Amino acid sequence: MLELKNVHVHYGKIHALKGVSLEVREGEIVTIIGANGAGKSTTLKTISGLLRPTEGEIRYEGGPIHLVQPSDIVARGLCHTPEGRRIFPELTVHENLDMGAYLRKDKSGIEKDREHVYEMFPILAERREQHGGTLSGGEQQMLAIARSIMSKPRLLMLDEPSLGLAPIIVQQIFEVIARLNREEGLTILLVEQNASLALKTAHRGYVFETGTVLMSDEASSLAANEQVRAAYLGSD
Amino acid sequence: MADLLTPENLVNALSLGALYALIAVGYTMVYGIIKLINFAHGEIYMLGAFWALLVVGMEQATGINLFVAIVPAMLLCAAVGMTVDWSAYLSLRRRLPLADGLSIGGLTLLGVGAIFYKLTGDTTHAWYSEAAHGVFGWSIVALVPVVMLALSIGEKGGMLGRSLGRVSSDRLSALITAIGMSLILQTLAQLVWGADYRAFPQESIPAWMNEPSFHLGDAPVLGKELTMWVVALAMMAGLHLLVSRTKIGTAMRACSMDQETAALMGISVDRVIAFTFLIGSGMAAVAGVLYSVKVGGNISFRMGYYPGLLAFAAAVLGGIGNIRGAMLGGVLIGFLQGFTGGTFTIPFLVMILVLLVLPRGILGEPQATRA
Repeated sequence: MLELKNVHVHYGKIHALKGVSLEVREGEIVTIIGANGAGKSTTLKTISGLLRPTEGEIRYEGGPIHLVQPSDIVARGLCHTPEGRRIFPELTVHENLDMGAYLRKDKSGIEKDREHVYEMFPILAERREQHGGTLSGGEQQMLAIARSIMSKPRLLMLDEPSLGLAPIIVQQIFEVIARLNREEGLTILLVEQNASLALKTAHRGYVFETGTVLMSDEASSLAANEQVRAAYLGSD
Repeated sequence: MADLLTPENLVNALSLGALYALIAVGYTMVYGIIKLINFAHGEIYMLGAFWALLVVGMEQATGINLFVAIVPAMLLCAAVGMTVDWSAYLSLRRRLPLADGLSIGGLTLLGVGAIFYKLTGDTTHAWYSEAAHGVFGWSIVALVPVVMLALSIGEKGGMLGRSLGRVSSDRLSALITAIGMSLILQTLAQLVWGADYRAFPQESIPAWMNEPSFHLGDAPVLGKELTMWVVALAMMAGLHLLVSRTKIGTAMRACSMDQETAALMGISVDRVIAFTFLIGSGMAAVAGVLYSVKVGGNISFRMGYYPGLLAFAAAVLGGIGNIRGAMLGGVLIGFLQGFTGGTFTIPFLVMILVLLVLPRGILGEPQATRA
C-alpha cells in the first residue's frame, strides 16, 4: 500500500534520512520505533509531503507521491496526525473536526462520520462547542485522531500518540488504534517512543537509528530480540 | 475642546471610522495568517479608486454609474492583491533559492510594469512632469532586489546573514519586500496616470449622494456619507459571517493558528492566503471608491499613503491579527481624527499610549499556548 525506497532527506546541511526503505501493507499496523532524532517524525513528514526527499521514491497505492502537495496526499486517503496533537486551539471541537473533513464534499457522509467519531469518543461529543485549546491532553489526542479520521483515510499515520499522557489515557488511545484497525480495516503507520506498547499493538515494526533502518521484523520477534530489548524496552 | 464635539465632526468621524475599518481588516487578516505587514495594502486602496475612475471615465465621463464601477474595481483590486502575494511574498514564504525567488518576484513585477506602461498610450507627459519623483521612486525600487540579494546570500552563510540571524533575515526581507511592493505600485500608478489629483466626473455620481439624507443635530448627513456607513457596516457583518460561519473562513482561522497542521488536514494554505488577499483587497477597493466620492478630487498615486498608515495604526491599536480589533481600531482612529479636526498626531499619540499599557492592542490576546 505504501512503499519507501531508499529515501534521503536533508534539513539544510543535516542529513536526516539516509536511505530509508520501508513498506506498509493493507490492513496492517506497522510501527516505527527508535530514539529521539532517529528520523521517525521526519519519515512521516516526508510521506505526507511536508518535506521533500532529496533522493529516493515514495509510492502510495501504486503511484509516486513524493512530489505531490500535502493537500493532494490527504485527498488520496493518507492522513498524518502530527506529533504534539496540534489541535487548532481557538477552533471548537466541532470546527476542528470540520477541518479534518476539509476536502470532502459529501455533506451527509461528513455528518455520519462526525456522529461516528462522537460515538467512538463520547467525551468529544460533550465538548463539541468548546475550544480545542481548553481540552485536556488526552482529549486533545482523541480529537487529533478523530480529526484525521474525518478525512476518511485508508492509511493513517500517527506520530507519538502517547506523548505526555497519563498511562491510563495511553491505554485508551491504543485500544482505539487497535479497534480502528481491527473493526474498520484502517491501515496504520505508528511512530512511538513507547516501544513496548507499540510492539504489542503492531503487526510489524521497524527500528530506526540515526536516519537509517536498523532492523525490521514481526512485532513479536522484535519484542523478543535481545538488542531491541536492551536498547528500547528497558529491562522488563 | 468642547467646540470640537460638533455634529459636523461626528459625521466626519463616522466616515473616517468606516474608511479605516475597511482598510484595517485587510492588514490584520493578512498579518493573522502570514505574519507580514502588507505595506502595499494602502496602494490597493488607491488602485480601487483608479479602477473605478477608469470605468466611469478619467477624461470624459462614460455615463456609467459609479456604483456599477465598484464591482470591476473590487475584482481588479482582488486580482492585484493576489498578484502581489503571488509575485512577491510567495517566494519568500517558500524559502525558494535565491535565483527562483528573484526571478519569480522580479520578473513578474517587471512584466506587470511593462504591460502597464505599454497599455496606456500617452504616458510621456506624466514621465517628464514628474521625472524627478519617478527616478527617485525607481531607485528605491531597485534597492529592493539588492537588499534581498544581500540577505539571501547572507542566509547561505554570508556576513550579513550571520550577523542578523536566520529568522530576522527572513522577517526583514519580507518587510522590505512589502515596502518595495508599495513603492512599486505607487510608482507604476504615477507613471501610468500622472501626478494630478483627479475626481470622479459628476455625471457618474447619483444626485442623491450629494443631498442630505437626514440631519444629525444641525449637521446634514449627505447620501454619500450615509452610503459609506451602511456599506462599511454591511461588509463588516458579511466578513464576520464569512470568517465565523463558513468552511473557508474556518480554514482561514486554522491557517492563522497552525499552517503545517492545516496542510496536513488537506487545506491548501497558499490558496487560503490568496483568498485572504482577495477579500482584503476587495474591501480596500470599496473604501477607495466611496471615500473618493465623499471628499472629491483626491484621487492620485499618493492617496493610499496616509489612509494606509492610519489603518495600519488602527489594526495595531485593535490588536493586529484580530479582525474585530481592526474594526474597533478603525472606528477609534476615525473618531480620534474626526474630532480633532483631521490631525494625524492625536491618533498616533493615543495608539502609542494604548500600546504602552496593552502591548498587544485592545483586543489582542496573549499568544495562545499549545498544550
